[in-house]
This record gives sequence, structure tokens and C-alpha cells, in this order.
Amino acid sequence: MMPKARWQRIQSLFGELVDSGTGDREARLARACGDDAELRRSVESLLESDKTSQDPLQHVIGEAAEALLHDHNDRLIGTHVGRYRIVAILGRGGMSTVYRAERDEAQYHQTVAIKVLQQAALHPRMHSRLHGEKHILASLDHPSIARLIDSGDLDDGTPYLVMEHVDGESIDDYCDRRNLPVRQRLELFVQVCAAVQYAHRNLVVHRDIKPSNILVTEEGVPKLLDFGIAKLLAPENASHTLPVTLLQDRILTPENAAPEQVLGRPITTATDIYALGVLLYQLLTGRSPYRLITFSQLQLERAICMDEPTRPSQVVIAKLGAEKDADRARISGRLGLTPQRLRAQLAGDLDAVISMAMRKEPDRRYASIETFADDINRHLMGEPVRACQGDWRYKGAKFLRRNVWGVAIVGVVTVGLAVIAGVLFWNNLRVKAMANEIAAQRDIARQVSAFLVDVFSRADPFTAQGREETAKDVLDRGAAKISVDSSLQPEVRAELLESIGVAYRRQGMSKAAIPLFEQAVEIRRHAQPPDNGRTAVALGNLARALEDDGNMVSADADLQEAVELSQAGGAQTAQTADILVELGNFEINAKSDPVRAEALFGKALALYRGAPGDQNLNIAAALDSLANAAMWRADYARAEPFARESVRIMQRAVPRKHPENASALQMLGAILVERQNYHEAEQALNEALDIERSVFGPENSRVAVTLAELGTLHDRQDNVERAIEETREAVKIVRATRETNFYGVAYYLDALANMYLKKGDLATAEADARESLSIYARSSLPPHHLYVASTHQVLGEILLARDQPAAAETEFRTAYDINAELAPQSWWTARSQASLGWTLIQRGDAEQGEPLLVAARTKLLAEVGTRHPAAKQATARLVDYYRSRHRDADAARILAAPDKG
Amino acid sequence: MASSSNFTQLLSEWRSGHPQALDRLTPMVYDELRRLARNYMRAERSGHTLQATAVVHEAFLRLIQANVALQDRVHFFALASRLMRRVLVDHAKSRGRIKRNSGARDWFAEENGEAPAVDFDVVALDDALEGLQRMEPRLAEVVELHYFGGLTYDQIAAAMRISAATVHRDIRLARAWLLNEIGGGTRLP
Repeated sequence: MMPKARWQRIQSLFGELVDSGTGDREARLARACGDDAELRRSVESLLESDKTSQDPLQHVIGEAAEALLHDHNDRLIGTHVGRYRIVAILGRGGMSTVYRAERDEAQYHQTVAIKVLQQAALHPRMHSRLHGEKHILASLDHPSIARLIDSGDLDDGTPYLVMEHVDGESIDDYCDRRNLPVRQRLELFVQVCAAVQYAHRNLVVHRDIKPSNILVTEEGVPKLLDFGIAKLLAPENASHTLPVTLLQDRILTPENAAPEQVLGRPITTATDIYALGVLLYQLLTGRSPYRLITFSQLQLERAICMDEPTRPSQVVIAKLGAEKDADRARISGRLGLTPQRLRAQLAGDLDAVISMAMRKEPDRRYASIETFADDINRHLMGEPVRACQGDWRYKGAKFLRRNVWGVAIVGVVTVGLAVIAGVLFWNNLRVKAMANEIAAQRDIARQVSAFLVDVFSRADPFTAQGREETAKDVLDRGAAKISVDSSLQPEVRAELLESIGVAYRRQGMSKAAIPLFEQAVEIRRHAQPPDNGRTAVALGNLARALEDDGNMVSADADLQEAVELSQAGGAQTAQTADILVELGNFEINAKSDPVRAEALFGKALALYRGAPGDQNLNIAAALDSLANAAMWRADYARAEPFARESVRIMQRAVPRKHPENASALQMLGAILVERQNYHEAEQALNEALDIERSVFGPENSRVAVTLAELGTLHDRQDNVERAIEETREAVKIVRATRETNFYGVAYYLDALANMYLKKGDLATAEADARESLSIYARSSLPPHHLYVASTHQVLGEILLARDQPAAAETEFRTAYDINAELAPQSWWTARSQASLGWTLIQRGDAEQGEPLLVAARTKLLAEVGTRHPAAKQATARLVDYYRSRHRDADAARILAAPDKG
Repeated sequence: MASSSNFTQLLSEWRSGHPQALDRLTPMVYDELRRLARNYMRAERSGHTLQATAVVHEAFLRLIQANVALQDRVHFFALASRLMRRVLVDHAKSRGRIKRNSGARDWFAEENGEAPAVDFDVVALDDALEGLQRMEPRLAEVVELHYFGGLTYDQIAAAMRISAATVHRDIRLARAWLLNEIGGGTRLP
């Protein structure tokens, strides 16, 4: 073995050189090794081996594991299981192996499928239940459900199920191999629905509907396998899945799992409806709704719980990962169509039906399989479906809120030392307040203060050497100091871990906060005497950090435990309320459920009001949360009083220049703009802006959000100059603080283009609109998005005003196509149609243009009324046209009775 | 199977410095891992490739109470990763070394994202790891935790109280060293 010193030299050289460029590396290696050729060779060969792009170690270990399994799998072949002889392996799944088996008796021959369950996968308590459930499952008698014949245990206790053997292929292969068109796929799907419906009537939920569980026979009859089997394998409660998810390596969440399955919530018939939605998505698009390029379980779970899948009509034309045009053509070719034709068939009804089945919230899906299948039948017969069309308004509102939050989070990240100092100071105050309540805590408070002061005194820019310390430096130092300082009492340590954790989180470094909160939770759990309230608070903090980090399942479980603990704590009312607020925010951010959130916030508010001590800030925060929940539902009238009270309390409880005061004012301002109370809205927003600028500095994204809000306000008041100025400034800040192709920039630029058009500065308007489109094209938004359509629309108007009707026509057509596809009944589709009609008239094609304009105007009047700018414009244009043709009677008619068209 | 509270108790005894607890823990974890590994199947469709690490995590789930202390969790994974290595190596040895086509590695295929052409098995990896263990125990432990235990860099960093960046560098160094050692190419002196 080589000498220790030499090995250490090799190690350190490797560390130094491993990330350097090749040219640089040569020179540095030569310099470091001098004439020690052997050393140089050693380091070089290590660097060479590091280049392996794939990981051979992973591969070798995977192979070894696989070999171990296969050897074990094949051992049953040729043996007897009950009255059956195992003949071959039909398939292997994550939880079972399925064998083909035969029963040979005099004059009686029967082929069956035997499913041998993994004991490991079978929940211990379920083992006995398996045999109890079998009677229910065996009673299912339907031509499209594979029958359960028998069940038993192998000699070693491994349970097995004997099932009807189905000779067929999985439904997706069946459809693809025969190039079945959309209609036939839908008809087959309706048959599947009938089988599931039958089972639901017999109180059996499938729980694991996916293409490989549905075989289609040569005669075209679909057969569902494994009805109710998944239930026997499911853990009874979420706590058993928790440790695994904590380790971020859950064994499997199938792509077809519903959010409630991921979250360990109750499974109902709605779970099957969701899975059928996913199945339909797969059958019609050839893709899975949450297919990611490389997905970890965690990403998949997060996507299932949080992301809106790309709508079917979009996914068939979208560029996904490495997919090429040819791939898209090949997939749609299996349905006998080009991607564009397939898109046209899916857009509208089928998008809406699938989206309804796949809603995140079980109670917002179809109420039953009947209604789901009924909608498909309606579509097949050319009748309108019942699924809500144009979910877009809801999504649009959500985008705005998300956008605001996204920007606001950046704001928090970019805030410097002042704010973390504030957070730590704030926590410190809390500790002091605590100390006043309980004398024994005073010592803890003193130690915590001393520790923090020590960490902070070194954060003084004048004492830091050479460069200004970042917030992260200070926090890292604090965290490191906690871990090495063995003199800290457990309570002090926990308090510090939580303070630093909170500061990390506010800096947007939740990942760094997680281990700190975990340690704090451990300490709190083992405290003597136990203090459930404290444990609950630590758990609440941990959950919030996990949520930021995308680990929704663990976050949810920790929050639930926190709520239970805090309620068990009895007197800790304010702490219970803290956790309820967290839980409510979680409902909104992770599950888009403002209704449930509002109930939680309301409960928290009541608790704060009844709690001892100064609860003003907490009460105000709960009110803000209530206002936010109402805004998510676009119920501004309900939001207003909450926001007003919050502002009132802030004015009483904190100094004017307090960030929370600014937040409350911004919230109120945004609500008042929607309520068209412009005067007061402006006061509130200006006040918020003033505070934010002085607290965060002028280049902060919280400032940008307030500025854009002011821009909207002034635009609505027709004060275009100011609106432009403010929106321009917001764009500048967001550009400086977000990634290059952030679609929010494009969204603000679209607003600017509209403002410049209104003002008559056509060149600038055009430049902004074109830049907006180019950012959208590079952003994360799908190419066919209503925001994109909106920009094409305004660009069309600009070009028309610049006397380029041919170019304008192209833009209007694009806008119209996207709108008509995504929201055919909406007023903005009618607006595009009206603009297109008018442009055609301008280009001398009145024959086509006039009927378009007339029809579009009628639709606009019906949708938005006479006073809406789009309706006014269409009317004015039609009147212009009639007059130019000397059809004064027509002109007079629509002017006299505008509503009648 | 031992009751999970009993198991957790043993684990915590071991952590507080009772080596005899380890003697009782080892066969329990080993048996559980082997049983689990045998019972796991490779999914017939793409998407769920089996990993030894899934087995380790499942063993954790089955052996340990939900709210076990963080340090016990760390100790469990250290133990289970080591034993997973043993389960796989024992099995590979029992069925005889797999004959492999020797020859140059297919760099082209590797760079194009295809499966790496690997000309060694888990037994050779185990031998090389022994060597590494003698020289630099920390590197060997990091490899065990990551490859056999499935811990992420962050988790290893937390468990071993080193930075994630160090873990990353350690793993790259260890992997390069092991490949050199196994590859029979330029061996380190």
C-alpha cells in the first residue's frame, strides 16, 4: 500500500484539478508534480477515470440485484400451486409476479393466471384480510372484469391469487397496433367505464387502473385485471409511508396515481375516475400527463399534486424534451392523423372532459363514472359535453397569483442582511417574551441572545475582511457554530436551530433549513418534561421548509402531526393557530384549495383573538391570509374587509416602515383596483411602494409587483403616461431579478404594448409586442397559450394602425386560431374575429370580412355588453364600414339599437 | 421479524456504544434485506428499474419505527448499506462469477447515453472496495452509503457531518480510484 502522505497528495491534487479545464489542468499538474512522474501518472489516470459519463458502479450493482431476483423468480416454474401446475412467467410487476398455470384433470383442462404477491409488498395486517376480501372480489361477475377464482398461500406463506387467464394485449398496444382512430378508442374506453361502474356499484374500487391492467381480447373485449387487489397491498395509513418519503426515495408511485394516493388521503371511487382520466389522456395522446425527461419519484409526486398537465390538444403538438417532429408524427400516426389534425380533434370537448376527470381535488371531478361516460357518449354523438369549458379564467387568475408569489419570493431572496437580522431579532424578541412568562426560560433567552449577538457582531461589513458578507455566510457560520458548541443546553440549541432555520428559509434556502429543523424536532421530542406545543412549532417549521423544497408528502404529514400535537397541548392556542395558518397556506399553494384554506385561516383568527398577550401581528397576518384566499376565488368583495382590518391593525401595532405593513397595504391596493375604487387603491399602493423602497431598496421585486399594480390602476384610469412609466420600471426590475426568459416579463411587455397603442406611439408599441412574443417563445409557457394570443392580437392592432393590413391579418389569424382552440366561446375569440373581419374589409375583401365582423360583434355584445371597449370598437368599425358603403340605414339601425345587433 | 420497537431499541443501544447490540442487529438486517431483495421484481414495463437501494429503504420502513431519532436513522443506513453490499456479493459468489466479454469500453455508446459496457461484476467491485477501505475508510463508507444504501449527497453529508461538496468530490475520487483498480489499466502504485 502506498504511504499515507503520498495518497493525501494525490487526493488533494485530484480535488483541485477535477473541475478545471483540460489545458489549464496540464499546466497545473506539471507545476504541482515537478519531476515526480509517478505522482503525475496516478493523478492523470484518476482524472481520466472520472470522465466516465455513465455510472458503471450503479450499473454493476443494479445487475447484481437483478440477478438475485431472477434466480428467485424462476424457481416456481414446474411446481404445483394448489391444483394448478405453473407453466411460465407471464409478467413481473413491482409487487407481484404473474404465472401462467394449468389444471389438468380427466376431461377438464383450464388455463389460469396465478399472481404471487410479494410478501414484502403486502402490508402485514393485510395478509389475513386478503382471504376475507376474496369473497367480495370473487363475486364480481362482469364480462369485462377478469374473474378471481381462488386464493391461497404457498408453502412459505407467500399469498397467491388464481385468476381468469385473459389472452389479449394491453389496451394501449391494442389501440396502437391497429391504428384505431379517436372514435374507436373512445368507444373502447366507454366499455372500460362500464366495467368500473359495475364494480363501483358493488362497492369495489380498483385503485390501480392503468393500461397494463386492461387487456383487450382478439374479439375486442376489454378485460380489467386486478380489481381491488391494490387495496390489499396498500398501507393502512400514511405514517408507514412517511419514513421512506423522508428519505426521498419512495419505491414507487405509478404515473397513474391520483393526488390523494400520493398524499395518503382516503381513496374513493373518485380515485378511479382520476385514473380513467389519465388512461384516456394516454390513449388519445400517446403520452403520460406527467412524463418528465428524467423523473425522480419526488418530481413525479410533486407534479401529480401540483402541476397542471399539458392539455391533450397541446401535448400532441408540443415539443417535449428530445422529442422530434418525427416522433410526434409517429405517435399521432397511430391514430391515423397528423399532429395538427389530432390536435383539432382533441381541442375543446375532449380537453375539457379529461381535465374534469383529472382535477386535483376529488370532489371537483365527475361525480360518478356514469356522468364521465355520459360526457364521452355526448361527444361521440356530437352533443355538447357537461364538463366545464374554458377553465382558463380560473387558471389565468392562478397564474397571476403565482406570478406575484414567484416575484415576491425572489424579493425575499435578494434582501440582504438587514432582514435576516430582523428575523433573528424578531425570534429573539419572541424568546424574551416567553421568558417573561416563565422565569425558568430566562436563562435560555439570555444564552440565545448572546449567541446571536456573537454571530452577528462578526457580520458587520466593517469587521468582515475584504468583502461584504452575504446573508448566507452569516447563517452558515451560525449553523456551524451550533453544531460544534457542545456547551449549549438542548433547549437553547433547539431555539437557535429554529431561529437560523427560519432565517435560511426566508432567504429562500429552505434546503439548508431542513436538517436544522429536523434536529430541532428531535430535541423537542425528547425534552423532559415533554412540551407538545414546542414540538408542534418545530414540526410546523420543518413542514414549511419541506414544502418549499417540494416534498409535499412529508410536509403534509408533519403538518398534520403538528396540528394534533398542538391541540393536545391544551393551552398553546396561539401556537396552534400558527400551524393552522401554515396548513392553510399549504392548501392554497400546494393544492389550490382556497375554500379549505379559508376555513383553517378563520379558525386560526379566532384562536389568535382569544390568545393571551399581544397578538396584533398574528391577527393581521391571519386576516391577510383570509383576503388572499378570497382573491384566489376572485371574490374581491369578500377579500376587501379582511384586508382593511389587517391594514388598520398594522397601523396601530407596528411602526409605519415595517415590511408587514407594506404587504398589507399592497394586498388592500390590489383588491381595491379590482373593486374599481381607484382613489383609495392608489393611496394604499403608493404608501406600500414608499415603504418597500425605503426598506428593500428600489431594485427589489416586491417593489416591481407594487409598481405593476399601480400601472394597472393608472391604465384603467386612462392615465397612460403614468401607467407606462410604472410598468416600464417593473419590467426593468423583473428583468434584473429573474431568469432571462421569465414569462412574467413578456406579460408586462404585452401590457406596455397596449398602453403605447392607446397613446399612439406605434413604433414603441410594436417593438414591445414583438419582444414579448419572442420571450414567450423561449419561456416555459406552451406555444399555444392565451397570453400569447393576446400579444398577437395587440400586434395586429398596432400593424393595422401602422397601415400594414396584410401583416395585421396574419397576426389576427394567429390570435384567432389560438383563442378559438383554447377558449372558443370567450369574448376574446370574438374580438379576434371582429378584428380579422375589419382587416379583410380594409384589404378590399368585404364579402368575407362583413359577415365575420357582424357575427363577431353580435357575440361580443352578448358576452360583454355594449360598453366594453372591444364591443364599442367593433360597433364603431361596422358603422364606419356601412357609411363608407353609403348604407346609412344599416348604420343608423345598429347605432339606434345597439343591443339588438 | 423482530418487533420494530425492539429493533429501534437495539439500534439506539448500538449507537450509545454497546457493540453487542450490533451482533444482534446484523443478522436481523441481513435477513430482512435478503428476503426483501428476493421478493422484489423488475417491472415488466420501463419506468421502474429495480435498485438495491429501494430494498434498503423498504427495510428501513419495515424495521424501524416512524419517529426514530435522526442519529439512529443514520446508523441504520450505514449498517444496511454495508449489509446490502454483502447480500449482493454473497449471492453473486454463490451462483459463480458471470463470464463477461472483455475488450475495450464502448466510449461512443456511453457518450451517447446508452448503457455503459461494463466488464466487471459486483464481486470485483467488492474486492476493490476492500482495498479502498484499508487506505481511506471514509471514501469507502461514502461509496457504500451512496451506491448500496441509495443516500443522496445531502443525506450523506448530514450523516457524516461533512459538506455536500466534499461528498461529491469524495464520490468522484472514489469512483475513479475503484475503476482504475478494477479496470486493470494504470494501477496506482
